[in-house]
Amino acid sequence: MHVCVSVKYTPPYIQHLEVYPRGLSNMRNLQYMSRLLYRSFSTTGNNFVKNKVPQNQKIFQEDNGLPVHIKGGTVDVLLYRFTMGITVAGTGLSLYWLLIASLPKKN
Amino acid sequence: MAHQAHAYHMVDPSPWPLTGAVAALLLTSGLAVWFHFKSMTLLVMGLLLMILTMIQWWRDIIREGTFQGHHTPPVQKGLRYGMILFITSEVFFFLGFFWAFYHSSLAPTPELGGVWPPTGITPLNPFEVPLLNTAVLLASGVTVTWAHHSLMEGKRVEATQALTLTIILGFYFTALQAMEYYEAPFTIADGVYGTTFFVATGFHGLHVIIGSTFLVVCLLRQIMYHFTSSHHFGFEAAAWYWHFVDVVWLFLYVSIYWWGS
Repeated sequence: MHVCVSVKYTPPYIQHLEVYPRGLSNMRNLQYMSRLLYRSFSTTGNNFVKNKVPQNQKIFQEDNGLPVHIKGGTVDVLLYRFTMGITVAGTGLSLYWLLIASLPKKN
Repeated sequence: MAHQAHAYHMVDPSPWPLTGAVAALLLTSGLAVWFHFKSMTLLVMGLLLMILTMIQWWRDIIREGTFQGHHTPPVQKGLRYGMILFITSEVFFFLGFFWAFYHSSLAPTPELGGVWPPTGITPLNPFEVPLLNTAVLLASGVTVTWAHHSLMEGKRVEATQALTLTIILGFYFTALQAMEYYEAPFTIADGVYGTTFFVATGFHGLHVIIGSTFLVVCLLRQIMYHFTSSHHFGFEAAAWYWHFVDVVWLFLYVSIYWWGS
């Protein structure tokens, strides 16, 4: 990502160059080279993932009376129903096995 | 539209405590059914239900904090107390296994040959892989602290990198330990030495996996811009837990691997 340097704004690494008097040209070249290297490795962060926090804040703060566990939409509801399904079925199954376990052993 | 006149969080009604309790029922009864009747259905259902409960419950907490703004300073204080109390309870959990180890190793019975390590047991060399594991976890403690400071200073990329490095080190530890388990010349069935070794290090390994998972969730949240430089308690909680896991390992290493050999 390239930064366009306007006339008014002098980035710190350029301001630094003005510090050295004209006689010390080697130092200025060194500074110039390190400045180029700095710019070629960008640390401006990953631009692949968009910040969706404001969008999500809007969704979850909407005044629709929905509890937070289903406020996200259809996926929430489906996941909730699936989870509750396992809860109910599992409870029933454990009661079934309790019944089996309570029966006398036939040897 | 009514607004609260206080800074605390009155949560919405939630089904996850119930599903979590039923998961505990299915896991315990499922274990018993597996032992006595061979069927694994209940157990698998319990495991699935536990995972679904954890995902949705913690997903909701993220929504309440990051998207709804419910985590005000007093609420955050409560969350901090909660995490500290939880970690303290885990310390007591491990204390029990250390008690068991010292009980058996300080006064070895005649059945063991009156010595520790017991006769016939070749313990692992503490200066080989276990020492590497120590270095790996200590380094991961440094990288997680580095990640925290980067986060607080608003250095996004650095924080992401340091957190990623922490996670890689965590996975490296797990891989090394799995290899050690496979190659070990003794098993869990080899008397009280095997029992204390594998139960203590085994539960520790489980906690490393839990801690690594927590850190991975933090990494994803960091990438998705959930954390700010002044508000990132989820990350702090993960970092506390990770340091706890590191400290437990240091005690394990000194007691069981080093002194115990």
